[in-house]
Amino acid sequence: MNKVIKKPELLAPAGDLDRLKIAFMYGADAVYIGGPMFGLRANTTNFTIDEIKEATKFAHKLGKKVYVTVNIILHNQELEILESYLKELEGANVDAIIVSDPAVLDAARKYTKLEIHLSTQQSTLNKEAAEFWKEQGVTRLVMARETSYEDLRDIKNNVDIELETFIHGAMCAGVSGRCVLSNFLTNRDANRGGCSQVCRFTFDLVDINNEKVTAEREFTFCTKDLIMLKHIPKLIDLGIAALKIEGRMRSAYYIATVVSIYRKIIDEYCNNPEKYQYNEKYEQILSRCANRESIDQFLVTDCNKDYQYYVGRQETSNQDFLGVVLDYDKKTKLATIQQRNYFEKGDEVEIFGPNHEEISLTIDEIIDEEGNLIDVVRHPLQIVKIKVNKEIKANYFMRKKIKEYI
Amino acid sequence: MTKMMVIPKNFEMIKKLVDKSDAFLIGIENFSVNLPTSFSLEEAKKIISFLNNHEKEVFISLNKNIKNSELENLEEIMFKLNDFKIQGVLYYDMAVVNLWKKHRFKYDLVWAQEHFATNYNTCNYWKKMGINYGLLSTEITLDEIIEIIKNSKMKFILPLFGYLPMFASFRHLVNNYLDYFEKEKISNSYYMEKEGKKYMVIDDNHGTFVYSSNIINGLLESVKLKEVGLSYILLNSFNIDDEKFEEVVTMFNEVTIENSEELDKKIYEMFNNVDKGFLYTKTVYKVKENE
Repeated sequence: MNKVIKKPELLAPAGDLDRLKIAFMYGADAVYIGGPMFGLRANTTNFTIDEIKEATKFAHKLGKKVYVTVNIILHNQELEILESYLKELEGANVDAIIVSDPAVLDAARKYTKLEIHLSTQQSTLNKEAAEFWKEQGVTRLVMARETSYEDLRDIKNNVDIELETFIHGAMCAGVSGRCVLSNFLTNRDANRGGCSQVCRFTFDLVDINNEKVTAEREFTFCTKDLIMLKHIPKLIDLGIAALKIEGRMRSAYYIATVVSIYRKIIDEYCNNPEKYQYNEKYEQILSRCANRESIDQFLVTDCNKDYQYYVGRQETSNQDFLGVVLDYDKKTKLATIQQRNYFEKGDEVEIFGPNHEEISLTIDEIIDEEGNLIDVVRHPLQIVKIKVNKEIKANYFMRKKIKEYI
Repeated sequence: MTKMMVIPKNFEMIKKLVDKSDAFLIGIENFSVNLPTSFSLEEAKKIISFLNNHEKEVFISLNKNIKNSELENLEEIMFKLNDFKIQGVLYYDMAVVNLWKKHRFKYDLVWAQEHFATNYNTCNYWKKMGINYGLLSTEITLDEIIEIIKNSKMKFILPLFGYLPMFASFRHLVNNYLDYFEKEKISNSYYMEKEGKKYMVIDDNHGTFVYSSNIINGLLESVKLKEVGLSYILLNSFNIDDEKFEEVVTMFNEVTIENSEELDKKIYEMFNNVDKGFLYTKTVYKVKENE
């Protein structure tokens, strides 16, 4: 008999409306976004209330959800506008707010009917804490990044509350909420969205005898990113309600790539768990899309030296992403592409879209906006046409073909 | 009336300072972090008994993040503490609150999510739950502290002398680095240095912890804070020379409006790395608005 499996929600970040639409298009069931205030990404683009309304309208038409982060730790001065802000979010029909500070939780319960998810900032790791927050009216816990598989299982077996866990993206080196390095070293308030990522700085390490530890690289807290591809079936079997991708500041290409890969894994496993097989290619695609090395983290280990990243801030920029499809003409079979990285005639590329399809081709002809045949596309955002025999659509992405599979 | 609370390094220090402090905050091994030392329950029992005999208040810190596997031990410790005469138990993890509520332990709790006590509504949230004490954040300004004290009925504890905790991690970040580059670890304590500042970093059984490069000195401000009704001034001996610490405790006891500036200056003379923390420095978070 086939296993009966409940699909978890695939939850993606969205920095703006365009990326929100991409996330949904590529398979996210829900997105989390920052509103005009009180989110932990204060220095990036966030949604206005009108944009949140547009986002929820768009999402609800698709049967999908939008959560808004209200997860800073408030100071006195911010309390005054909290009530009106929460009411505005309720009016914008958001599906839930993600909170850290009980002052927000309290106000949300008092003044609105908003559903409340507890942020990872509260570092929930155990069933007693889970039970506590459930009694406070929280409907979903975003688990601490340090939660092990055994911890998740223990909580799931003992407390009737939805659990959400991070599956992909950057990691904090420290316990969320317990790191104020940014405050002390750069005067930027980590718990109010100003984190300056001091954990990625380098330091001299000096021992108690005042001797500097000399090594090939300077000391840093920097950790590798998280990737949970191999553990998705285990998390689904456990009944985790939502699988979360980190990265509200990430590009549309990144969102599309990561969301589509996890979508595939979830669907492949849930549709046929007995015959499910791990696909190494997914891992390669994701590793090419990331700018730091990724590894599974606290779910399965205590994170030893192999989980650290000792190359400081010299992260590689991703050059696999070649362009975005703007349009496709069925008659001429010409795709209009906006360039993101250099490509040329003869390159082997892949075009991928939201419905699991992937088209491999060799570029044999490039036409510029004036209709001239050209050999290379070297200008940022340059618009060109290339021949693609299979039908594709706007918002498909073109990337370099992954060499191992050529 | 504002009381003095000391975080001691050991029993000897408690004995020395017993007449100079109204309360002592101690840790229990395996469940306390960011303290100079933690004690076994047996040792704690002796200390508590000693302090009870001197009619001093005792606070116990159970302030680590707790994993499921540690819950059984935590519950056992909380039960045992219920047999002792203590004022309160400091918590970071909600497991402590949940167990406290379930078993109706007689001691008070102290909300000690160190960087989270930054507004009075959150303080009032915990107060409504029956939690009478709160450890205030050290990343807020003096004005914000005063506003919180005035707008909440909680009894507040405020660190006004000592190194401040800046970072906690489950990862063994120093061990990992030394392992990776095949270097020998010579102790649990190291310093991270950058731009002339030294930050103590401890990598022990609990993970990695980092402390401020400077010692906060709120002696001058303690006068004003007493006026507005601060309940406890917290003085931390962690990484401070014993004799100097004793002298500081004395100064905090003796400070008045008249001698406050003179004593405050004296602390600056005693230590070359003293500052006012965030008492007069607002942190920013929207960088562009502040450019």
